[in-house]
Amino acid sequence: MTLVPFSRISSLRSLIIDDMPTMRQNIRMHLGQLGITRVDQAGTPDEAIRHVEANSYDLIVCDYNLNKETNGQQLLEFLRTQGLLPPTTMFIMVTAESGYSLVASAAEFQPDAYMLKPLTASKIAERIDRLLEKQNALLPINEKLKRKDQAGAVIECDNVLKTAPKWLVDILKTKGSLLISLRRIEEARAVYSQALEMRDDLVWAKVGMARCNIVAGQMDEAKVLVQSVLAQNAQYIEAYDLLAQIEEAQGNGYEALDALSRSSEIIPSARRSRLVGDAAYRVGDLEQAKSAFDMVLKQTKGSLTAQPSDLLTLAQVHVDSGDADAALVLLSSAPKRYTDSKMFTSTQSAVAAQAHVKLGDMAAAERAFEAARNDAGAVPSDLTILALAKAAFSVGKDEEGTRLISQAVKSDHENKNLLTLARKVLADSGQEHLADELIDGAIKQCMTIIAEANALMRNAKPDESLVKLEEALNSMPENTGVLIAAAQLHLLWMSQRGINQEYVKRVNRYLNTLDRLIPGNERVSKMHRFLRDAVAKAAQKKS
Amino acid sequence: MNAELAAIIVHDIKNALGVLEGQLRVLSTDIPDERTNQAHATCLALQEKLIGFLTLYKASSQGLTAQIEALSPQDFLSGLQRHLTLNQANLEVVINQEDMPLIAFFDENLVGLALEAALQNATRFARSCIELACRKHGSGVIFTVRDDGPGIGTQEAKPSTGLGMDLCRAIANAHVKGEQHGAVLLANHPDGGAQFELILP
Repeated sequence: MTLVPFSRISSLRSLIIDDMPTMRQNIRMHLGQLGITRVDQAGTPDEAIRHVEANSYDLIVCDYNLNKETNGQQLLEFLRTQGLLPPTTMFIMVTAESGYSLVASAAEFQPDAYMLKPLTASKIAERIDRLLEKQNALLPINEKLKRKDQAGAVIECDNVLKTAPKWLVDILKTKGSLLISLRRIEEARAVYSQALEMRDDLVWAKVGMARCNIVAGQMDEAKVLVQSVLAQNAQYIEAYDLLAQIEEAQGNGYEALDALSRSSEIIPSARRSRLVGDAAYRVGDLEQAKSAFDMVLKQTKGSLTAQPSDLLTLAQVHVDSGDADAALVLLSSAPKRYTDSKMFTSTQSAVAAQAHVKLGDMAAAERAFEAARNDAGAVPSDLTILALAKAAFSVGKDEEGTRLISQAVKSDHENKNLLTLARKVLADSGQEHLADELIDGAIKQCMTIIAEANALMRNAKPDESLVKLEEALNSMPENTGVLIAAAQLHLLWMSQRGINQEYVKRVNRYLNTLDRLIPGNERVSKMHRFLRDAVAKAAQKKS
Repeated sequence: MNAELAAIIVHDIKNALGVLEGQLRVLSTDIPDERTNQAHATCLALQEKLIGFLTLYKASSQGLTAQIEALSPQDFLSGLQRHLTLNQANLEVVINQEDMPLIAFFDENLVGLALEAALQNATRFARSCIELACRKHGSGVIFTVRDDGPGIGTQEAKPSTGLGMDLCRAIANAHVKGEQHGAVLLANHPDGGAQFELILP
């Protein structure tokens, strides 16, 4: 039974991921019948990751059952969260009928299609054909999104809806999400209402409505909606995440942790366990933090998905729980590729120092602290500074500890989680009384820099204003407050004095960093738009 | 034989069939002949039947959950039509577009299984033509498979086991909206032939 290969299908570069060589062969032959000859194969998740990192695939066919530790769903989650898959890659998850229910509804990161085994060439062709058709239809929207033009993308949504109404649901989902991001809440609500009129049990539309409520500050209404979604579908992960977000916003740390914890029971992924571990640590639930990070380490053992910070955080939890021996054992088990990084060894030594103090070995503690300090470098990560501060307090170097806490807070003074952790270090080190003065002081220092820069701008000293902020960013490159101020003031400068290529580059840099640190932020989107318009206007003037 | 044992046996057979299908596929590629094609097609149909059985078993033991997605019934039925045409060169398979909505909400893998089971029946009785359709029904849809054969209640040369209908019923039942569950119906069409209906809320 041969099929005429469609030319657009035959040029697709493909990757097959399945632990059984016979199955891989099978699928390769099916793809061959469609004229697809550029096919790579991977038998394990790590092989798959290496292939994806090295090449750009148009099509990935992945079996759900990969091995004992990882399944296709977890691999997909890793690939998506690490941004390893180009947006046009089609990911098809293959599962036996026995795994079918398990797989789909709980999924947070959806593949482009689920297919049942056994596959046939014609079924694959039909599915790929449809996916390509959809990609093509939605192209105008995605082109705008690639250029971060969200407002333009919304307009394209309406255009595509007129020409290709078949994709109504995908378009409504995208449009709703974009409108929320642009903070055009009433329009977003209209989109979700339209969906619910089509079919009143659409879970994603209800969740969309809840997100509208959250942005509008209507937390109670949002909570009611989210809980009704969970009553209808206890597996809908996004609902748990929203619930956690609402509880955090309402200051209910424990309830937020509970929501995250329930979600990690449904999707016991390393990433989710990490979220639970971090949240548990922040509310002081060391038991849960420990079991969550134990889980993370177990799931990522020996895999490319393992993160050095997991090991460090668990070691810190051990120290805090009074289990200093376990901490030292864990720290010494770090693989070489971790210890090649000074940032890692600095934190490693900082936690070790704390452990030595707990075990009464002050000499070892001092040595470890020295090593930690030396490896820290000019701009250490949050994790490193806090561990170092805690170590400093534990070896009795209070002044240094205080300075480090101040430095930590200044590195990102608007970051609530960071502030909570900084307070925790002070509390755990018996320095609670310093907390308010120290932390508020550090925050004030940052805000003063911003205020001074603003004043300079107002007093017609624009260049000095910008210099002040660039200087500040040298010592606190990821301070979101300063980044926003810097971007705003550079844009203001340019609106008064005209386009400056160097400044355009700077603003782009700031905005990209902000996209990474605080994704989906409304002020940042506005600035993206502003910059784009300014550059466009300048280009027009020239021509 | 209890159901669990039966499922294990079917699983074994399914895997062995996978090997056979591979062999037949290679054969029909190397020897493109009507007979080898037919043998390959028969093997594929048998694999699908087994999946149907395993799905039914799962439905009765663990329950079946439908993953409802929005899709175009036209695209879905065209896919089925293409698949079928490849297997049955002597039958005409048409799609009736009357009252077909642009988008419908259903589980395409499960509904695919159900309609394939209905189609296997239809191809046994159809004389020359099979008609596929999907029409609006309240807030849901009804998928129909109609053949131009002698209709139900006539003498069957090879009586069927009824498993196909059980599978379809389980799949219809898995489609839930609020309090409504799907249903199946098999009856004679007023214009002749039998009509299978899959009613989804």
